[in-house]
Amino acid sequence: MPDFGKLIDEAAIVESRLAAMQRVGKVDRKIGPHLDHLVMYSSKQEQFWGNANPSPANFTMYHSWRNLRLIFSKMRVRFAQAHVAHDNPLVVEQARMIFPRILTTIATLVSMESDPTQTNSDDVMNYVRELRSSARAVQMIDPRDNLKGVDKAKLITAFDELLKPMTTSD
Amino acid sequence: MRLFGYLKAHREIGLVTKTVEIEASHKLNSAVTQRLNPSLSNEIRSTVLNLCWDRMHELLGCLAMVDVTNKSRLAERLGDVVTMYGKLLGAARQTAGSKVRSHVKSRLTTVPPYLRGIASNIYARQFLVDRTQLRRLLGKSPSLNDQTILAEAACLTEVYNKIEATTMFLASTDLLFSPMLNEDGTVKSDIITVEIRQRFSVECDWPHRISQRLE
Repeated sequence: MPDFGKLIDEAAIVESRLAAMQRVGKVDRKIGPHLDHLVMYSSKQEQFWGNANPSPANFTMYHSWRNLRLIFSKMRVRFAQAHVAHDNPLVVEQARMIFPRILTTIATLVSMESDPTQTNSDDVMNYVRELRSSARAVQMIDPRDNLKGVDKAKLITAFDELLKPMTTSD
Repeated sequence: MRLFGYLKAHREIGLVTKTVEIEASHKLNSAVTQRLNPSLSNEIRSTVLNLCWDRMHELLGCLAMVDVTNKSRLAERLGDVVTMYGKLLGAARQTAGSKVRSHVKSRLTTVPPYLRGIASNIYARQFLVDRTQLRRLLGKSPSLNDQTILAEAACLTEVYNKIEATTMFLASTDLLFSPMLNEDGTVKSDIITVEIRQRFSVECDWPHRISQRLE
């Protein structure tokens, strides 16, 4: 059983550090290890649900944790490079803009972990879609990371398959 | 020009509601989870879904997000939509064998006896072809979300027409809204589409046909 308590603790620490950074208008590098923890945790959950039996509900869990991992990874990189990239204090403001959505998504995923029913899947997918969209708007997710390490040939085959029914009319 | 290309160039005319956005998202989710080969990895599915979501948000970005503020009017119009589809379903059930025969019989009265054999086949076939869109209701009813989308379009039509004469188009590839087309693009069957137009002043059509009408 994953330590959800630790996850919530780390997310709360990040949230409070972001608030403190916003007050002083400066990046605090001590946030790094906490973001590392969130990246690691999301990655573990992503792997766990990736190996689960294929089902729409399990896919929802996998897809959600994967997007969280992509967001935390990008956030981690931006905070690490903030001093050299002159991203200070914009990175703090932008991280704060999406953090409430991150917390809502995490809370929903944690409650779903015990019972990933199809009923909740659509709602969770909507939270995650809106989170991804907000993260894109403030450069807290890199769309190119979505393609990293992915087999391009298989991706093209999947798109061909997806578009096939749309080109046939009844 | 494709519809979204046109709407990008004329940003003031394209509208979207939250219900449409959520419904579009559900369609993408179910396509990725149900239509793709089960042997595909979760990573590929997730990558595909993210690419689709990103594209959807880019496209929706050229539309104005609107909300129907008068919720009681929305509820009334939704009731009207549900009633309409109920009546259409009743009409669809009337397209069974005996109705076809009585329709053909009424048309054969003016046909010379030596042509009646051929004519009855043609009339029967035409009767069914004209009602193809209607008969789809026998196999599939519109979801509550679909009906809400139509009710929202009807409400927005009323709102905009109070300001100035406005034609409201509802772009959809759903055949319970838009007409069924022949391979050459002409209309094959549009009983539901016509009924929607008459009751709600909403023009449901395929995206490419709407863009042709707008250009």
